[in-house]
Amino acid sequence: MRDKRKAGVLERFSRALDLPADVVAGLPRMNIIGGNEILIENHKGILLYNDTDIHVSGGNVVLKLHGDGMSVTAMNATELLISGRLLGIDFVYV
Amino acid sequence: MLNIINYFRGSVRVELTSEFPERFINICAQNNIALWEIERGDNHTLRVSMRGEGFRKAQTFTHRGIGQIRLVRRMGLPNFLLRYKKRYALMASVLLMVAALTALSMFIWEIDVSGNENISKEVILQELNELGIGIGTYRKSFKPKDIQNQMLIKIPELEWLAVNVTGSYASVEVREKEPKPIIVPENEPCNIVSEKAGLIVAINTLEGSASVKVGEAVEAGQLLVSGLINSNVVGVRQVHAMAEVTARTWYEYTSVLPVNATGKKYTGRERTRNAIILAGFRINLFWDNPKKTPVMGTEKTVKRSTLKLGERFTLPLVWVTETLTEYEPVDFTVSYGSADAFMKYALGLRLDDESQGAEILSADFATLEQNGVYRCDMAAECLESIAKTVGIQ
Repeated sequence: MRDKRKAGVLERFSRALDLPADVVAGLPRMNIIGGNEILIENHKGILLYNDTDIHVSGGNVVLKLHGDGMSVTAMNATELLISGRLLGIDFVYV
Repeated sequence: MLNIINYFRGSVRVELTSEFPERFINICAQNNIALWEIERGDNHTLRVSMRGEGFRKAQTFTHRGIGQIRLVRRMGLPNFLLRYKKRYALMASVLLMVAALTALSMFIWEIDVSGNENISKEVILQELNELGIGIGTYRKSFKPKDIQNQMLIKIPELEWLAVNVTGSYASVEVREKEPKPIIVPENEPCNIVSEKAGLIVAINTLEGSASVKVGEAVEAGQLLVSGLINSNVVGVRQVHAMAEVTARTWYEYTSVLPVNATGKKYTGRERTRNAIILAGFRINLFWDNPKKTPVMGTEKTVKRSTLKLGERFTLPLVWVTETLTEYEPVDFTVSYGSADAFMKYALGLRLDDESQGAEILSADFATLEQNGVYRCDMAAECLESIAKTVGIQ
């Protein structure tokens, strides 16, 4: 609860001072190249993984990616590279 | 590119089995274990690639009851080298080969001479050898600039020389001196003399006083146009004589050819033998019986192939193939027609060379057979410029 409040404060603080929110507040950043490659930085882990759906936690938001032939090409503590034919993204705020 | 890096660093392919395999990979990621090529098996199985140390660390997570991890295969260069770690002789051979190639590339194994026309390649190589440059010379043992200067002193006919060393290959480029024509400057007085003997057909004097007329026969060196002009007003004055003098000139040459000659009749038998030249030392790969003397004549053709790696890295190994073709000496008589044609051709070439672009008006040939030889006499008449400028002495 306290972390969520802290994250919200940092987010508002970064917006107020026009600072990059992904650096200051640790918000997830997503780069989509074409419709085939997605790079997610500052992720908090994979919640669901199969050929058609990959759910990634971004802290206070869950990114639900669905498509065909989805797979995680590379992953480390902060970055996640997903490849496949992306059909849609849903954002679920927690 | 990442695949190349992962190959050199080495990696493993593992299979994760867990109730929630996503949780397993999240824990791996949070513990700085990089993962790639994540493939889903069934609902409880994932296959991932990771580095070796990541695998060791991931194995500790299985003790927490998160899941099971199984090694599928090892990949990469470290795994490849591990398989051969007991093969000491193989490793030593590879190292020895690399060392030998590195060491051999520091020496010159091939020298090529280009640009020479009158000076033979053997003369240039001989002089270079005396200066310490030859097959097997250490590349750093000489300075090309010093060699250039010394070679120009040793062979005065050379105008310019450059030695370029690339790898084990040395390229020697030369330029020979050309005889400079004697040119009298236009502001200096001069005469015009005859370069060759001939009969004057045209003379056009632009400056100076003509000493000959059309139709007059002149000898080589005879004065044609004088640069000294006698004037009643200023006396004798000197000028730079200029004139176009055209004359008929004659050339006579003779060629002989024996009527009977000895030729070669090939029997069809030939033998091939090989040898190796290693760093200048020849090793024959054949053995000829010294007591056995050949009955027939033998013609030898030698072919040399230098072993190279790429364009400029020459190895000190030359493969020599000698082909010995057997022939039988046969006496035969040269026909009149063949001798006549050959001698006319040879005399024609000589005339073209010595007349230097003169217009050939006529060329008569007479071929006779006399005392066992064919004799061909040629008389040619040409039209050419015979004016030559010389300074007034």
